[in-house]
Amino acid sequence: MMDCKDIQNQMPVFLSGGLNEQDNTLIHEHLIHCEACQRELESYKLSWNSLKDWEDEDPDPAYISRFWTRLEERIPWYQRVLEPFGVIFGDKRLIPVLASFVFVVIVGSATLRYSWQVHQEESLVTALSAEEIDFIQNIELVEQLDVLEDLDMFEDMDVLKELVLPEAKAKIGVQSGV
Amino acid sequence: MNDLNSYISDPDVLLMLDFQRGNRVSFENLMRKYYKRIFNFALRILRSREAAEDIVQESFIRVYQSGKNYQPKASFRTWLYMIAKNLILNELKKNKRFSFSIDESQQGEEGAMPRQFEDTNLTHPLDKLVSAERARTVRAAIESLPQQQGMVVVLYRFERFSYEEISETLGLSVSAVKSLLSRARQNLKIRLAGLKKEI
Repeated sequence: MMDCKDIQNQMPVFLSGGLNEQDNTLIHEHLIHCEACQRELESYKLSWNSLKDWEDEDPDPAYISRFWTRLEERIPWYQRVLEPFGVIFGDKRLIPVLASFVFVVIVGSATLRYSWQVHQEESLVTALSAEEIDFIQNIELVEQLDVLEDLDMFEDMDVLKELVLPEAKAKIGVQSGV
Repeated sequence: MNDLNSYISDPDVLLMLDFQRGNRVSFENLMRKYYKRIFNFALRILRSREAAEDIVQESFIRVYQSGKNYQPKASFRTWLYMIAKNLILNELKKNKRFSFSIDESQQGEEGAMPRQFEDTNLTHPLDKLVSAERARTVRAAIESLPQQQGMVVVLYRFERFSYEEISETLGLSVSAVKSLLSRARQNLKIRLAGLKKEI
């Protein structure tokens, strides 16, 4: 059997719901006829209820904008740039699909560009007259000659010509008695 | 630990999952819902508006950064308070002037710490004065509690957490929470004994 002292010691546990059912019942029954313990219980309740006097305070009203600014300062610039893509890359299952799509776009555009170039050349050739084709071919021949002249072998021949020709001319002049 | 699916019905978890899919509005809605609560939770423990603002901002930055990998393993509220609690504890360790102690003076570093809000229900200057004095006493009583008792009281009385939620948030057993709350009630009764006579 609990006396008033025991009951009052157990009161905060009783109020916090920490007692077993049997002790709870004992305290309830004791409180019905004990005025001293009723007063003690009341004093616990009053102190607990007085906590409401510490009311909530309002935070800085610009907290949302302050939050975004603070966050911006934390995020490195490259993450900020990539952030809009985060939604797409957030779902990892989409990565192979996106990689395939990028591959198809690159290969497709390269193929299209090549076909377009071939088509342009063909249409250019068909639009030329026979004379223009001859002219172009001649230009090509001239260009090839220029290339040949630039070769070392031909440069050596030019040097030989310059060396040999004056001597040959001189000999011819001596023989003819000029 | 509850089953993962049990948290899917939590509207805050749904907002968080929506934010994970890229909806910033959902994140802002969560902020609007909890900012003031977390601010007051931190304020009641740290006693500094500036420090409380820092804690709440930092808590939401953590939530934002966890967005991509978020998996509902607790109710959003419990998770958020857990983040805030850890930040508050770090702040308490870092800055001793915030620390709770049963032996500590009931006066803060700034003195009597006047009421920082306007009670619009009270018009008479004397009523305001009495109310301010009562709030100051209550504040001092809670501040004088040991750290864990203070947190349990704030979560139970002001944040309306259940024992289970407090146990999850603070990483304690439910019986430890009840025991802390009992001791806190006892301490508060002693510290607020003068106040109740004025009621």
